[in-house]
Amino acid sequence: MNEEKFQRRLTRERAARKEAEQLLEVKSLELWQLNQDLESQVNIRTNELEIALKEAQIAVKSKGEFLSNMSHEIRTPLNAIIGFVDVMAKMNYDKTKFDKFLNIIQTSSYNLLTIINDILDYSKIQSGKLTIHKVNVDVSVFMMGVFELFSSQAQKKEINYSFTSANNIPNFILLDDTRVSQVMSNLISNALKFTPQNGMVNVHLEYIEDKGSLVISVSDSGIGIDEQAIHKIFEPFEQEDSSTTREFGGTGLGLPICKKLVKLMDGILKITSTKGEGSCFSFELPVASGESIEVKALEVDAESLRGHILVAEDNAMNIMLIEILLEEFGLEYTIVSDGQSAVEAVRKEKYDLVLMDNQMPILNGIEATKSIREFDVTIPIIAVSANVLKNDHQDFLNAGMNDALTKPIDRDALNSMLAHYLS
Amino acid sequence: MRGMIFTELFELVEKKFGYDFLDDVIDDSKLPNDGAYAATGNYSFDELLRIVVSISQRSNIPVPVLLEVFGENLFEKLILIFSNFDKEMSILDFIENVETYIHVEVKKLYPDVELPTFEIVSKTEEVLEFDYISKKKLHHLAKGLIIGASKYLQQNVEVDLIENEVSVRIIVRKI
Repeated sequence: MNEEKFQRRLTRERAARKEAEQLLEVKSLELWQLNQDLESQVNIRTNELEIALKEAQIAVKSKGEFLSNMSHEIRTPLNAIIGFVDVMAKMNYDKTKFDKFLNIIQTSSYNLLTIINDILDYSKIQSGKLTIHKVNVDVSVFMMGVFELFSSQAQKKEINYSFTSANNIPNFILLDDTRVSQVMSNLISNALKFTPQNGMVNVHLEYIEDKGSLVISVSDSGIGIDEQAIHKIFEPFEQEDSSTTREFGGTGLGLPICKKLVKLMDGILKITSTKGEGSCFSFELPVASGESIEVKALEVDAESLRGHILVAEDNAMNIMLIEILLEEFGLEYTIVSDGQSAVEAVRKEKYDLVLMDNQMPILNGIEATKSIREFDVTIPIIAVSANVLKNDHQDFLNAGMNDALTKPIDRDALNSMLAHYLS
Repeated sequence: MRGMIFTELFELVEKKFGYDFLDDVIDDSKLPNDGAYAATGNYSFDELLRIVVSISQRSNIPVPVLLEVFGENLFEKLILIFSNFDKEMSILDFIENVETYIHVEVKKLYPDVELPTFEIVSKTEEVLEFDYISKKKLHHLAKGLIIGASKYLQQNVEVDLIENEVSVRIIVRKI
C-alpha cells in the first residue's frame, strides 16, 4: 500500500515538475521572440536615425552655403557703395564723374535693398512665416500697373514689350496683390534681362472658367534655358551656370522665391524653353471672383500739394530725408521727436496730416495715434515704419491710422500718399 | 488562481495532517490533473474551493479558520518576492502599500492575474479601515495574511471583518 502511495506521489510530483518545465520553455520562447522583435525595432529605429542624421547634416551644410552666399550677395553692392563714396570723399568735385558715381551708388543701394528683401522673404517662407492675404483687386488696373513698371526698361533695350489678355477675365478677383505682383515682376524682369536688343517680351492673361483659375504667362524671345538646367534655376543661388551670373548678374533667389510663393497661393508654376529661341514662364492660380467696387486711381500731381504736416520721428537721418522731400513738395512742416509731443501738437494746433513713425520714445506711433483719435477722428495719420508685414499694416489701421508707408521712404510713394490725403 | 497557492496549501496540509490525508483530499476533489500543480501555472479557482472544502470536511475545521491559518503561513512565502522589504515599516502602512505598490507590481509581472481590490476608508496611526472587494470572497485568507504580516513585522494587531453585500469591511487595529 505504501508503495502504491509513494508511486502516486512520485507521479504527481513528476507531472508538476514537467508542467513547470514546459511553462519555462514557453516563457523562454516568449522572451526570445520579444528579443527578436526588439532587435528588429532597434534596427528600424537606427536606420531612421541615420537617415535623419544625414538629412540634418545636409540641412546644416545647405544653411552654411546659404549664409556664405548671402554674405557675398550683400557685400558686393555694399562694396560698390562704400568704395565710390570713399573715392568721392577724397576727390575734388567733378560733375561728370560724380554723376556717374552717384548713379552707381544709387543702383547698388537699390540692388542691396532688393537682395535684403529677397533674403527676408526667402527666410520667412522657409520658416513658414509668410502668409497669403487675398484682397479684392481690379484686374485690369492691377495688371497694367505691374506691366507699366517695366516699360521704360523694355524701351531702353528696344524690346517689343506687349500685354495681351483673353476676353473672359472677371473684372474683380480676390488675390494677394503684393505676392502676385512680386512673382510677375520677377518673371518680367528676368524675361527683359535675358532677351537681347530688339527681342520680344509678352505678358499674357487667361482665365480657365471651369477650374476658376487665372493663368499669367510671360514669354520672351531670349537666350532660352537648357533642358537639363531647368530644375537647377529653382534652387537658391543657382543660375543656369556661372557664365550666366557673370554676364547677366542677379542674386539667384528670385525664381526659388517665385516657386514657393506660387505654391503658397495653391498655384502651379510652369516653364517651357528652347535654348537660343526663348522661354515661357507661366503660373496658374485658383481664384475667386471679387466684388465690383469703385477704385480711385492715386494721382501724382506735385504742384498742387499744400498743407502743414506734423512729422513725428526721432531718428536724425530720417528727419533729414523727410525734410528734404517735404521742402521739395513745397509743404510746411513741424518736427516732433516723440509720441507724447505729437499728441500735444495735434491738440494745440491745426495740422493737415501727420507722418507718424512707430518706434519712438515715451509713446510709440500706435499709442500716440490712439490718444489722438480720442479727440480728433478726422486728421489723416500715416504710419511710417520699417515693418513690412501685412499684420503690422492691420495693426496700424486698427489703431486709427489711415495708411502706412514703408521705410526707406520712396519719394513717389510719399508724393502719392500726400496727394491723396491732402486733397 | 496561481499554482503557487495550490502548492503551498498542499505543503501545509502534508505538514499538518500527513501525506495520506492529502492523497485523500485529492481523491475527494476529483481534480483534473490528479493534483499535479506547478507553482508557475494557472488553474481554476473552482479546484481550490473543492480542495479547501474537502480539507475542512476531513479535518472538521471550518473553512474560514482553515483559510486564516493558511493565509498566515502563506505570507512568509509571498513576501520573498520583494527582497527590499523594509522591516521597520508600520503594519498599517504596509497594508496600504499592498494595493498601491505590491498589487501594481504583481500585475506587471503577471498581467492576467486576478487580485482583490482594497479601498481605503480611513487611516489613523492606530487603525486602518478598508473595503476588501473580490469575486472570490477570500477575506478570511486576507485576514490570515494580515496576521502573518503583523507577526513578520513583530507588530501585534486585531483584525475584524464585517461582511456586506459586495465587499467586506476589514478593520485592523494596532494593539
